[in-house]
Amino acid sequence: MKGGKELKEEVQDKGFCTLCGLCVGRCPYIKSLEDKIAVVFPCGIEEGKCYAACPRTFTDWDAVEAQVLGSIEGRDPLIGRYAQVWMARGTNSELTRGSQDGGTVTSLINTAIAEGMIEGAVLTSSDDGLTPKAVLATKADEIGKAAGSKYMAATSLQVLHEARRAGMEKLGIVGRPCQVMGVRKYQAVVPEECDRDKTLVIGLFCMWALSFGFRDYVRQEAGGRQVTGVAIPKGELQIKTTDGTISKSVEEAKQFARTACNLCWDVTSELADISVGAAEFAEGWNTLIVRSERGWNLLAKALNSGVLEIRDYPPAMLEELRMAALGKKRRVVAELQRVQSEGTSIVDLNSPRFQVVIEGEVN
Amino acid sequence: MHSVLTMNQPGAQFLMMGNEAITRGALEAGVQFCSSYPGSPSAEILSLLAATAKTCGHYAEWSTNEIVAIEAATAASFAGLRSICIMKQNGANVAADFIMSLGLSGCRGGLVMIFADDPASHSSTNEFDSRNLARWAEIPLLEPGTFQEAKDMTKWAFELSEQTQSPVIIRSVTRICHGRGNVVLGDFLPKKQANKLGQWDKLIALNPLHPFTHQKLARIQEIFETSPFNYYDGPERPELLIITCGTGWFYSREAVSRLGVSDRVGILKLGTTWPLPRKLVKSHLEKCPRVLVVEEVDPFLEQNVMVLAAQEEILVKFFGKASGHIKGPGGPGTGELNPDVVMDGLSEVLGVPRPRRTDVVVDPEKDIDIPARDLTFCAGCPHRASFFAAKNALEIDGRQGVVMGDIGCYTMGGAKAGHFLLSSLFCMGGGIGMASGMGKLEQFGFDQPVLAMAGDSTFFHACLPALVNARWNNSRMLFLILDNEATAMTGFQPHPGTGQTAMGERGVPFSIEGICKAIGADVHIADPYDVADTTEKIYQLIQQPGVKVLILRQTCALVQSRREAKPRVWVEQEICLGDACGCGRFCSRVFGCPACIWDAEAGKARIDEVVCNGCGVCASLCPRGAIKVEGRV
Repeated sequence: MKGGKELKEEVQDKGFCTLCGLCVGRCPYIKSLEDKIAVVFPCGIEEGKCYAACPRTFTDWDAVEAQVLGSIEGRDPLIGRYAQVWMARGTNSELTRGSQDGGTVTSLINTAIAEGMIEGAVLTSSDDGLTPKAVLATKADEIGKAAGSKYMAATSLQVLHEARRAGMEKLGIVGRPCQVMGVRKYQAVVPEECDRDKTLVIGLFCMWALSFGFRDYVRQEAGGRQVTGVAIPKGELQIKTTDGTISKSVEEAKQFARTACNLCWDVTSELADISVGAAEFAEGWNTLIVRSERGWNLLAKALNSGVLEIRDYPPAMLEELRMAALGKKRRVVAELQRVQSEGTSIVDLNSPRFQVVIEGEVN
Repeated sequence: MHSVLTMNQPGAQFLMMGNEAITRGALEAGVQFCSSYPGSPSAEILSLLAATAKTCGHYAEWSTNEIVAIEAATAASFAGLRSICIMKQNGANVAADFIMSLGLSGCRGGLVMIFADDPASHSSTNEFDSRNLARWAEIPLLEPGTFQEAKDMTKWAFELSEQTQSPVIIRSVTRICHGRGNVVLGDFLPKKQANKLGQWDKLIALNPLHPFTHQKLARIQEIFETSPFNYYDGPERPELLIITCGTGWFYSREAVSRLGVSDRVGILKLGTTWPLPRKLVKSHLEKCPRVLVVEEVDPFLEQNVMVLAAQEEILVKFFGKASGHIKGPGGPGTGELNPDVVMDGLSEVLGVPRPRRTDVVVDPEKDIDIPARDLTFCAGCPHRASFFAAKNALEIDGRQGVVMGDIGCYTMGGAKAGHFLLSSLFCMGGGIGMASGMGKLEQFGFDQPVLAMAGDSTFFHACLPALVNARWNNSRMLFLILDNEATAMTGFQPHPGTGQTAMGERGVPFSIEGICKAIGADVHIADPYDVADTTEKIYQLIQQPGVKVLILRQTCALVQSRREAKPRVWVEQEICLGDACGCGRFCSRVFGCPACIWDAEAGKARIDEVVCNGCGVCASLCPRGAIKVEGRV
């Protein structure tokens, strides 16, 4: 087994760290600020949970998927196992103010807390509309503040350990695909610290996360104007300021995409209970993928309480989503092949899930 | 309280520490103006002079640094008053620029400088021989070999200074300053009135005066020829002549006695070592062609005597540092002398067996294994938290930030206590000066963050010109000022930031942030006990260009523990998981506070409540929250 030393050598020093934040704050040795995580001191522990749970150390996707979604039929090689896909949006404008698209995540988390499914939620908030900040939210106003996409990578899973120390058992976690995998591995490695049956995982769609260099870029573009937020709808980068919105190409933002994201196979948070992303074809709506039984329960409660509404997902749009995922998966598999040929083992590329992409027989 | 220093009982004998004897000598001489910057081993002298100032009617000040101290003392001399200025070896360097002129200008009222050297650097970062400065600056030099002489020489130095209108340097060493011996008290001389300075009263140091300095030295040499501080003890024509000064005299006597060679070896003890009393030394060289020179640190006396022998064409075989017979563990000219060092050299020169020590009985059965201890900060020291935060910030930043160190308690941060964080260590103020330069290396591809660290007393002592330089030349660096409200390393002397003077007057404390802001630096303040906040501030500031100052403000734990009751800190052993935690004994092994200990019996962490000063930082770092604090914080 391996520990903090190997986590530093095999993940951080190689630039593979996803900034999920899971390894931060569980022990006194791994610390984080902004978009950096460091193993500050050698801990001397030979078998580190940090290494075992890291989404960038070797991950047996098939095994983890079997643990989490083993009972779910309907496996899709591009967007994962799921039960159903819908268009969704929040109906309570009080709750969804500040949301990126339909406010679905905000509505779901509010429901989960109101219904007692969870005591608190690990979310990514922001004080300046730009810089992500991990929060442990327990009240509607805290959840509301965390609404809206944060494009820079947030190390928000560190809050998991805070929640555990605060005695919270039933926890909601909203995260990027890398964070979803981190949580799933953590649940397998230290089940006593993160019970799969008491945790609700809402995964976000993600093509890449940006480094903090993006913040400097945004501030520079804003000139002297106060930045209030950023949005990236349909190929456009919008920098919102107190003095109007500046429009740029999304390519401007993409130059700050973290290289570690080039190794991320997962676009739609394939191991979440529920996955949520934009529905780019319908303004004000989200794409919602229900995967697990817990996900079903939550969705049912949100619909019953009336804070969420859903519509059938247009099959053509689903195909578009799948193709977008395929494009990313193909690029990532090529990168994984390159990296693994240099001696790092992150996934088993011989698994059918990877082979199917490599061989190009996806439909 | 200071009765031994002030009692008017000539002839009475007391056990006195060397620093007390020097103080008493100055008081007997009627000293009026006293200045110093604290440094070990001489720090007590000005403290004692300050404590007796009101009783005796003199003035004493802690100056901001040694060059200011000697300038101030010289001003008093200019006005005809007797003044003394005390400094350790490194302080003499700080004052050297002025002192180099002082030999040229001379003085008016008696002006005495105490240079306290620290051979083997017990409480210094380095060792060297300040006597070289006396020869370099052409100022007469005295070296006491006993505690009585420490007093008597100090008193006489004022007389000599006034008689010759030359400042006088007295060179002491740690064992004279901090050792104790019997001293017979003398009488008190009357104090003087300050002279009015007329338009043509000048005290200047210009080169046309140089020949007069040499004439003065020639006169002083004549006085030294018959000084009672120089004497010889031994056979009329010894087989070997030991020439020694300072502590070397005691050690030489002991070595001669223990080797049983007093009929073969004579000892010429010199108290006035520069300018050399040539006639006296020559008369002894002519009687003995084999000479062993015994002195602390450099072969200062040895080389002067060698030159004399060459000039006088006396054929002498010299033993000492050059021959390798007088040497510390690191070789000749390093480390401290002691009777064993002298015995080793003497027995080799004489070819007599070196007796085993019989006065110390070591029973190997009873020999205990004393574990080696790290150089570390006191329990609760804010510096430990500051270094811990800086280490965290630099590791998270990941660009291998370099930290330039300085002189103070925090120098120990260069060791394990500070996670080996300091990359450089020179003199007071040296760190920020280096950081100022290193912060300009970006154009050459140097892209590591640059930091400097210095304490509050050091800030006032030597950091201001370098900070101005850094700001003026727009260097990119972060200056961490570890403000613990004390000159802690040397014994909590006040400094401008405390507002209090040596004589106890309370004034308005200087604002370090105000000064830094006036210089134009971007100034921030953090409490190092708040490790998370301090870490984040350091991290944020090294991301930014320009000169940044972060004042890490928290009172020295020892000062604080004297002010109020310490909070109680303890480990709730029910909560602590011990080795099962996975923290790897973080509190005792990594954070390393001496109060954080391992309870081997319980297999849990424990707080040594006797040692603990109650800062509570460990409680904020324990991943289990097993450390509890009750009281302040």
